Amino acid sequence: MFGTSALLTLFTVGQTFWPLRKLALLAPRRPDVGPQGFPVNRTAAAAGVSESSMSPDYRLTVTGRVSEALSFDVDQLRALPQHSAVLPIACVEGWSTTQRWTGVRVRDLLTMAGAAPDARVRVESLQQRRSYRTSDVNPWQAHDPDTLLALDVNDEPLAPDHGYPLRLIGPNRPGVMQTKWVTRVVVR
Amino acid sequence: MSSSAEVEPSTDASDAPSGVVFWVGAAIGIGIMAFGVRGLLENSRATQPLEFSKWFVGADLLHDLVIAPVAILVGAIVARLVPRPWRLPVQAGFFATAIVLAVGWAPLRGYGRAVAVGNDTVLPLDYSTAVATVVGVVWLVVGVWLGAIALRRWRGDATAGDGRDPRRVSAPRRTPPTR
Repeated sequence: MFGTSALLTLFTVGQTFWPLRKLALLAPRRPDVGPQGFPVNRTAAAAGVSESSMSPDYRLTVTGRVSEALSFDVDQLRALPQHSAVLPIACVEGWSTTQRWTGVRVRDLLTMAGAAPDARVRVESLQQRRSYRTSDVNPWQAHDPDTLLALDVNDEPLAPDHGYPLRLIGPNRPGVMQTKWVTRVVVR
Repeated sequence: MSSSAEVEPSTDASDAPSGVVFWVGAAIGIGIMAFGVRGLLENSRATQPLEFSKWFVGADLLHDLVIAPVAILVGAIVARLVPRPWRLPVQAGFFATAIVLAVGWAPLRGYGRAVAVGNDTVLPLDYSTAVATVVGVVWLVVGVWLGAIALRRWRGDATAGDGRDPRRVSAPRRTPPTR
């Protein structure tokens, strides 16, 4: 019984434990297989954002309980102060992957928009339907210096399936709430 | 599953839970189940109650009609064909193989690929080779285990020569009560 458990662990734990990834023979995911070297839960095509995420009309807006509503295109986002954080995507499916993300701090955007310090934030995706097109960021997470709207992963622009042009990534959040293809930040 | 006539009533009153413990436990348990059922029905878009029911009933049927009979059959064949000193590794081998096949079944059959068309990161491996490899490792371990038993028996024959099972020799002896 113990031996079998150990065997199964050995051949699956690699989907979340990087050093044993090559042994993850029975795992449904490999943490090193995918665009830019890590897996995808939902592709841009499956989310129906293949066109809207690539469109020159793409904007990120910051609206809601703010003193000044903001709007940025991709170049304007890149012109803002950029920060990096090494953070995991930890998927409830059982796999996880840690990458180096670079982008704009959520708290910087909130400061620019004049949001209240206790503001809660809802992040919305370009995705039109299905669950998890939005996610909530509580005030502690919103003010964490590592909570980013990332433009790059490992110094490359995000691949379409990883949320191009902009995805949320923050500490202590389930993978499904690291919303991809972010187009709106609503302050509440 | 068995009829009530066959169930032997507990004769030892101290074994039976007291009425209060039983009813408190039952209330908590039923409450938890009700919470689960409510979640199942309220989030029906995510939980798919019909699919859930298929799995809930199907798993029992699969166990009772397929898995248990196959396990009994394999167990009976192993018990008949494999002499006792060698039996444990072989039984462990079949047990581990069954678990590996159970865990490997979904990726082997490619369940999930159909709902993730265009996502090459879902089930990215060749799972036939993977499952065969893991089963191979299981039987390699069984082989080494059998080899170790053979070696120990051979050595035991060469030195002690009393033909006793070496496990019996090292079994802890009961110390007589001191007075």
